[in-house]
Amino acid sequence: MAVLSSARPVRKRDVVSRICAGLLGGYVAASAVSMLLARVSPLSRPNATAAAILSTSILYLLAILWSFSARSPSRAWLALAIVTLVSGGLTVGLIALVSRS
Amino acid sequence: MKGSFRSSMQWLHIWTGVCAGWIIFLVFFNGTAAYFKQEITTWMKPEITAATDPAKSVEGAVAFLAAKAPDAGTWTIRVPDDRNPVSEVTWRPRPMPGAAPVEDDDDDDRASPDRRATIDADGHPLAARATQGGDYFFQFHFALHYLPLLVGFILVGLASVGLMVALTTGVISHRRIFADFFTLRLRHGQRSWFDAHTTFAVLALPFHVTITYTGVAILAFFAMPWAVFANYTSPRTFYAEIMSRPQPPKLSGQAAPLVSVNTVVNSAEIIWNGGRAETIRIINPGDASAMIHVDRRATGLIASDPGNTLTFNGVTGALDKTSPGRSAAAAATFAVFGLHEAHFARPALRWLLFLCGALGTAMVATGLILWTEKRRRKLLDPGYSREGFRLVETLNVAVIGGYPATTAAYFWANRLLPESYPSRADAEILCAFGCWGLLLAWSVVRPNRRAWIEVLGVASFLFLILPIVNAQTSSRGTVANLMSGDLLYVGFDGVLLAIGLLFAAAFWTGRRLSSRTTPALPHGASSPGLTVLEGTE
Repeated sequence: MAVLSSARPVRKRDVVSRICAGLLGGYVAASAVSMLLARVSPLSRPNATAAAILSTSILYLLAILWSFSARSPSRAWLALAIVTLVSGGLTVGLIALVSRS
Repeated sequence: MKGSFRSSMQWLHIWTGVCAGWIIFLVFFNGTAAYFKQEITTWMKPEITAATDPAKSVEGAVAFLAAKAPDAGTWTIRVPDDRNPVSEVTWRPRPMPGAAPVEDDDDDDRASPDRRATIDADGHPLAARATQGGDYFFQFHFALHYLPLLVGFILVGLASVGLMVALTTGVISHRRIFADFFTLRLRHGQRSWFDAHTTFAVLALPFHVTITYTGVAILAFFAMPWAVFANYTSPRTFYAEIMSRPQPPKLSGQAAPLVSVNTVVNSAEIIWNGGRAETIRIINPGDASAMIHVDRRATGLIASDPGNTLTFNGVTGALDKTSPGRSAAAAATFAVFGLHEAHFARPALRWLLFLCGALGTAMVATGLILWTEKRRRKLLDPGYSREGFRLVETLNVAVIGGYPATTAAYFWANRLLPESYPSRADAEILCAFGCWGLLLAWSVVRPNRRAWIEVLGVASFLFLILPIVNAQTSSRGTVANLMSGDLLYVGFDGVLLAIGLLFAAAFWTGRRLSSRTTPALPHGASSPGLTVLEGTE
């Protein structure tokens, strides 16, 4: 599947898929990673939370760039889904099992 | 692989740029104006005279509040400073018994008009024309206008993410970032637009990166705060830990006279050893439980809130407590807000930031124009969609040429509308948007190149004549201001003239080029986009 480029024609479906992956999938993935960061960071509770929120926008940016540079839209979605599930799962597990003061 | 990565980043740069471009242009333009939001408000209320004595103004503010809102739960007074010669007061009713205390911030920008007032330097309520002043630019900058707050906020948020993506991909896809900094090929059509775009971008790149990151990070606190839920069950607990705002005291029900507020401010400024008070918040005024919080002004500090609040007993005037030092989290958070809002900037730095903002605005404008210039040749291909091209071309005129003209119309309305006009503040903005609507309609019906020239002409006219309108209507003309050394008015006229001359130069360039170039095809409905603004190819 062709990489997006200004030189070659692109399929409309692929572009829409990548936009959705970047905007929606990226939002969810960045939020999940930021939650994990806030949870596992060795900083104190408010510091870890603020640091995680401040890094969310960078994570979102990286997720969007990934969605458009991945070799195919399905790979973009797959990676975002894996990242979301792993960090979301870890966060939920940590919240349930480990209390944090 | 590397080549294809770069070209996909280039593709992303072009398309996020053109999708987010118009909103980002408006955000940049209004945000740049908002660096001088206080000064704009003062200019738009020519009744305000220079400050004489802040203490007198504060005293007047307390007297005004005691008469106007004796039963309020909170009085807030913003003390006059170098940038604002008057006291801004707001008040808030007592929370209902049993109801949760209102814990939104004490941001006096958002108090409703019937709970705010301005007290002049002599301590009397200011009799000034109703206007939104510089707040219009500030609000438009993050939430647009005439839209529900949430809708405007989401649109600006999406556009800001687009800006962040466009900025990053622009740097990634740019091969010769250093060499191109020194490249400016004038009068080469498309290449000149490209050079201008990269020069504006690279010249102020550190500013663009900072303002974009801090802008998106501020939005993230509202739009993506999910990290809070990893550590807290309720965001309230987190914000209470960060802000460490003292709990409001319980109402005692016993009346007790309020201590002299200026005495309290004096003791605070002695404790701060030279620091100045910015905001005074009086909780439960007139009650035995009254408290006075004095916030320190953030001059010279990046953080938007230095966290140096002193709390005094409102009846005895004794120091009750000092706020605990900021945690690292709060310091970092307030630094991000502070870097974006630039409360710390003294005049020289403020002008530099204003200039950087103008470069950012120019970067967006040239980028949008470059999009059309690059695609002009494709119009010769009958298979190429003209609707999209025509849309971009038209919106470019209406936004890049039309919106600045709109702000000039806003200032015109401020000077020309009668002072007693019903809901005058809204009418000023309605005038501005009426002007914008006309210019939009004009750019739709006219051939694009003519529309550019005409809208640029209107913009330069509106800006260049404005100092004369001001001199005729406000008894504070350029000459009088030069004589009295009123820097605010002189500076305002200077900026108006600079913007007006810029548009006039663009207008003349457009005229000169349009008389020289011959379009590749005759004008007509079949080739609406085939007009060349710049360059003889």
